[in-house]
Amino acid sequence: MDYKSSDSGPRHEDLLPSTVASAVKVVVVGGFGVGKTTLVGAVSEIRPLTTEETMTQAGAGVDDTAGVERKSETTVAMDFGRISINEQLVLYLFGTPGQQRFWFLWDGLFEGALGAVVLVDTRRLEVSFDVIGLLEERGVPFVVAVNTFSTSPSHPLEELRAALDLPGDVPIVECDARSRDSSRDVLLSLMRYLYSLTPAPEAS
Amino acid sequence: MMQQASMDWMLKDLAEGIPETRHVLVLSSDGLCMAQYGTDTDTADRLAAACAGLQSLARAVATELPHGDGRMRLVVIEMSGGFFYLMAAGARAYLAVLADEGVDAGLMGQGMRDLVARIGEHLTTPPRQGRAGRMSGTDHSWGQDRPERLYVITGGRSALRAQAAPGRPALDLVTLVVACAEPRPSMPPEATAILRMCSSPLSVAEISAYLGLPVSVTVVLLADLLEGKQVEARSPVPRPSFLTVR
Repeated sequence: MDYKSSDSGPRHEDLLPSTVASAVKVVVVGGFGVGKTTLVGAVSEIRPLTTEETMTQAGAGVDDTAGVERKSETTVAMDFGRISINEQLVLYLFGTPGQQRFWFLWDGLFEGALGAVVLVDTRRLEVSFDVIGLLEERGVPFVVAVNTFSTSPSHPLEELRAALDLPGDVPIVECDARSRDSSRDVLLSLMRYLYSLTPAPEAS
Repeated sequence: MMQQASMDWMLKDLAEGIPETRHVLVLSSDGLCMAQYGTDTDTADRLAAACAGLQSLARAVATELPHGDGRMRLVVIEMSGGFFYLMAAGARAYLAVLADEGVDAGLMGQGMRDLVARIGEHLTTPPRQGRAGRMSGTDHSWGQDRPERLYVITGGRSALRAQAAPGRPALDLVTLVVACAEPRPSMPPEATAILRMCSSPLSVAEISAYLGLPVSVTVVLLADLLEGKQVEARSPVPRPSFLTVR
């Protein structure tokens, strides 16, 4: 293996300024095939890293492909993208598989993560239950983004909230993971939610 | 999907190179159509599902041979009006061709074998994507099949032990790493590569991606460089306690 700088390492335009002092982490989780990779790719300023393993027979009967039969690959590792907030701070966005058998990946991932986006597909709402349960267990603040597929049944957001048994203060928004603006708005609603959790500074 | 788009043209070569060919498709062992030529999606999906059944039946028959390895290589069906061929292509893929009567069986056999050789290559090696080619795709160069290389690189140490050094913050996925020394000729290639790419701050996750090595291995290498003061780490902003919802 050779490590010529031309083919390993960031491209010149992907270099971070040397003033960058720290980074924050946001995680995108969701069931199988809901569009996490797409969302990360839509908002990232660098070409997102994607490691995918082809779904094989072992996955038949384990991964429910109802509604997404044409998907022949599923993500077993992490996709990530990057957004520079300012000269000192960058945000990394990690997409992670929602299937239960990949939850071992979550340990390093959620440690220190500011919050999470749970991406759901209304055709297969039930795959999100476990993911949401696990986030609640770990105390990670999250917003729910409903990725609107052209064939998805459309439900009022309040009905979805009831179906997912979400607490009243957890934001739920619609999005199109293929659109940069729409994906950015999802991140903004997460940010506003995190901001709302921040206690007001005590008057001195 | 990248993989699918680049496979389609290979199928086209076969379909157009051998007269009487009707449909060509590549399917996964679980019966999903991965690429196709000369047919519509519904037909391709139906054929792919049927092929999954055929290959599993053929495998069942193959196990009856005591000296065989139980693998199915080729299924041929001769029917009134044409032929059907199903050939194993790599670990998880099959190539299927439906052809009209009058097809040259020898030519078809040769054509399919050639294509399988190319598809097999395609399914097991990552597509190179430009200059930053290692960033995405299915990179198995460090996969489960070659754990010994990882063992050599890390000297058999694990991320857990590398993390445990006292007086040093743990390396997170988004810890930013900056080089503070020039690579020396005596350094291992991985360390040289890290020092080169970290001339600007880079997260552990990115370093791992560019090296094409798992995060756990990258962390061990970085811990060595931190120890030798050849790189410095800028820790991520932790989640404040008020952001833990209970």
